Amino acid sequence: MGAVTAVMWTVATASPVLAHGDHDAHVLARDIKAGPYVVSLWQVYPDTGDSMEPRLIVMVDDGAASAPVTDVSVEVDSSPVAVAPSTTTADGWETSQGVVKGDVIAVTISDGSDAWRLEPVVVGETATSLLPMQWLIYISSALTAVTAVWVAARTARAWRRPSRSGETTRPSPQEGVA
Amino acid sequence: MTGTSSAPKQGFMEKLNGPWHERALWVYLLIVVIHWVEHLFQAAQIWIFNMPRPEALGALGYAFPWLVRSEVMHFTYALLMLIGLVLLRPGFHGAARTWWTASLVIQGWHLIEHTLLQAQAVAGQNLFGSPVPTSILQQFVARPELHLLYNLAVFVPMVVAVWLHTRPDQAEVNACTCASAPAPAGMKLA
Repeated sequence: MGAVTAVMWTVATASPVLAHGDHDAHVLARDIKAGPYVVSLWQVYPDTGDSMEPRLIVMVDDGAASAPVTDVSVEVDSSPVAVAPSTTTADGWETSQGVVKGDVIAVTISDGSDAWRLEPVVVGETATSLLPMQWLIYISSALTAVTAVWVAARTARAWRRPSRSGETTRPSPQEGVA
Repeated sequence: MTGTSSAPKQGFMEKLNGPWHERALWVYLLIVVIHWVEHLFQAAQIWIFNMPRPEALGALGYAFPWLVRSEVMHFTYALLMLIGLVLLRPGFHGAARTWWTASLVIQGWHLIEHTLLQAQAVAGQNLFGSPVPTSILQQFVARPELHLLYNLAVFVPMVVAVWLHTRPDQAEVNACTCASAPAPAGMKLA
C-alpha cells in the first residue's frame, strides 16, 4: 500500500516544469542523414508561463549510438540563428526562434573533427485534420447543449428526492415513472 | 407510497450502486459534461476561430494556461474518470451496462495514453524521437483532434448508457432510484 501511495505521489507531483508544456510538437522533417547521424527537425512551443513563441529544435535521433555531436549551426533563409544544447531535451539543440511556412532551414552538425551539412528543408504546411472538424464541433455542441440541460435537470431532480441512504428498497410502482 | 424493509447493512459499493447511485451518477455526469465542454471549446478555438494551436487552451486556459498544459492535470482527470466508470458500473443492467462498459474500455485506453505521456514527463525520456512527451496514436493524429475524439468516444456511449439506465422500464431491474419518478411536489427536501 505504501509503495502504491509512493508511486501515485511521484506521478502526481512530478510536474514537468522544465519540459516543454505544449506536447503537440510539430515534426518538420525526419530521417535526415548526415554522416553517421540521423537528424529530425521539430517546432515546439515552450511554456514559459506568459509567452508561447515557437522554437526550432534539431534532434539527433541516434544520439546515444553515435559519437556526441559537439556543434550544431542553423540558418533560416540564409541567416544564421543562435542555437544551443537544449536544457529540456536530450540529444536536442534548440534555437530561440520558430519558423513559418516557406522558410528554408539549413543545418550543419559537427563531431569536433568532421562537419556535415544537411539537405536544406523547406517548411511545409502545418498538418490539418482529415476530419470535417467544423461540422463535428457544431453537431457535438448542439448535442452537448441538450445533454447538459438534461443532466442539470436530472441532477436537480436527484437532489429533490428524499435521501434514501441505508434503505434497500425502490419506490413502489404506484409512484409511477418518469 | 414506498415500501420499506429492513435489510442487512450495506457495504460502500452496494450503497453506491443502490441508494446513492442516482446522485453519484448525475454529479459524475455533470463533471464529465463540463470537462467535455472544455474540450469542445478548445476545438472551436482551433477550427472555428482559427486561433494558433499553442494559444487555444480552452476556457480554463485564459486564466490558468500552465494548468491546461500540465500533463498532471490531464492524467489525474483521466484516472478519476476511469475510477468513476468502474465504481458506478455495477448499478447498470442489460444494454445500459454494455454501453457503460464500452465507455469504460475506451477510457481505459485513453488512460494508458495519458500514463505514457506522464511517464515520459517523469522520466525525462520521450518516445518516437520526439522532443516532447508523445503518445502512440499521436503519431497518426495531432493531439487536440486525438483527445477530442477520445473524449467524444467516451462521452457518447456514456450518455447512451445513462439514458437507457434511466428509462422507466429499468425501474424494476435497477437497485437504485435512477429510473424512478420524481419526488412528489411538497415532499421534504433531502
